[in-house]
Amino acid sequence: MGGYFTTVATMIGIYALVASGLNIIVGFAGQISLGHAAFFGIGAYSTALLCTKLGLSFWWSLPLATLITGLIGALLGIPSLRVKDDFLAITTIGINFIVRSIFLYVPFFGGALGIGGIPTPTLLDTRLRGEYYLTLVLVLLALTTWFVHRFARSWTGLATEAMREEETAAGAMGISHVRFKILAFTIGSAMAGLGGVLYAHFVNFISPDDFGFPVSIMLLSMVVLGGMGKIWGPILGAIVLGSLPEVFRPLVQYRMLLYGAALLLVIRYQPQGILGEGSLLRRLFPRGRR
Amino acid sequence: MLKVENLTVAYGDIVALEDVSFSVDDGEVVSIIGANGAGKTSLLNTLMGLVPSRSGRVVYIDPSETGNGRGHDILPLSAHERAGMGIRIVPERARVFPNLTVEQNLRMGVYGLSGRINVEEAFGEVFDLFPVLKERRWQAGQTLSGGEQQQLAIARALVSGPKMLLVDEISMGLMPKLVDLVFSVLKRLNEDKGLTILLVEQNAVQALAIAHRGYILETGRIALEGKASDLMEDTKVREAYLGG
Repeated sequence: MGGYFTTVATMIGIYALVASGLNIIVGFAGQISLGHAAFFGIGAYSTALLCTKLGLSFWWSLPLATLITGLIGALLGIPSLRVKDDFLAITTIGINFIVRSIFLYVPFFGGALGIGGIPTPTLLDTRLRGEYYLTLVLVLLALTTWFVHRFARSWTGLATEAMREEETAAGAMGISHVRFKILAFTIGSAMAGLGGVLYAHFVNFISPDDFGFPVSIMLLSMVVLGGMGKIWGPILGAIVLGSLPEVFRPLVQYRMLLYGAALLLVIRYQPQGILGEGSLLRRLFPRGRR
Repeated sequence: MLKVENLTVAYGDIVALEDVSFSVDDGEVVSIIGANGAGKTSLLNTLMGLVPSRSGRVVYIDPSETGNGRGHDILPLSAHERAGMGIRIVPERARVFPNLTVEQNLRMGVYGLSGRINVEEAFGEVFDLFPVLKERRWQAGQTLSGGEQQQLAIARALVSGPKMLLVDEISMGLMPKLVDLVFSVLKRLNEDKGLTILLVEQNAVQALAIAHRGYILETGRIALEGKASDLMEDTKVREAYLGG
């Protein structure tokens, strides 16, 4: 495998993980979030600081930064208890801009220069580069996907979906919307945090612009394109949107145009996403009840 | 039993219920009759905890505690806490979960109770009451007809084995045959299992026919109360709600 291919595949793997986290919030819990990159960034900055300032190893920092991001996600999920739909969309955009500004203007976070020198992890005296790092990303993606699968089939997952469908009716059935919204934001943010950790140790240098609003839009596009509330949806979305710019690379100035066109076509003809209910793929390969 | 004392509910300046007092005894069917805008839905939603109240008290006494008179004001509790006490609502316009299957809709009805009740047995009972739901078990809620959705909403409230059932205008938009079915199911549940039921209805004839007692709600106030059979004979009630 060439270095180019592994780099693209690693980035797709990381985005798939982060988008899967967003899918918990948007797809399963039905809480629109346009600020998911903030949590991606919080995970990346947490691990960067833990490793460069406290000298923690990657293997300690990974769970710790994931946990920190999950807790901050629980805190920043509180607005979703008060505001809904488009108002929540605006609020989450605000969260994204505030978090990015903090990274940019608070000197502790390195400002516009970002944080460099984030170590490449080692395992059994081997530096995890290239294919090794890709394997690590894919293993963690597989583990989180297994977790999402378990979540979707649990009482908790079903209750989260019921809350998305009919919040008042769910409340009248003993389902506390407070508990399940905060839970969704915690899980979703923790997954974004995990992705942020993997990103930071992959590129070794992070700056605020890696976690801006456009990244949130891209992540949401991945979820919508693949199919909201579907376990494999965001992964497929990440593969498609992550590889399209590379596939079209020879076309240079037209590639973003084609990227946009592909996105539009899916929204127009497969509004539920490529893996959504009633989509072409599902009709071609029908499966039993889920 | 449920004792509502001087309940007032308002949305901003608009008063929906004013100083409403009534009670529902254990094992009783009580119907509250009212026209559009009388405050029927506001009343049930307030009892369930879906709409906040302005003043008053709602005392709920669990059937097992009625003897020693212990009970407390449930107004400060949230909807999911009241659901946990055994109060369930069949909401206006069914409100089934559209993208969940009939089976999953029913599972939500027993959320948090899977350790305490036999889920398969409970499902079997509601499938006996509403056989169409068994046929539709694996279909998404939104693919059901309006009448089937109403049946699902009742079944979803019943699977939990509630102690008190609040039913919001179940006859709305249903064909007459289904209205008969639904009312006969409610009557049977009350007679066979002693289920306490509070109905709010525009369909006064059928609601009073299965009720022990009734109240007439007019623009947010209780205008009249009495035994269901007496209300049916009352001239004013006949003129206003029973078509002369």
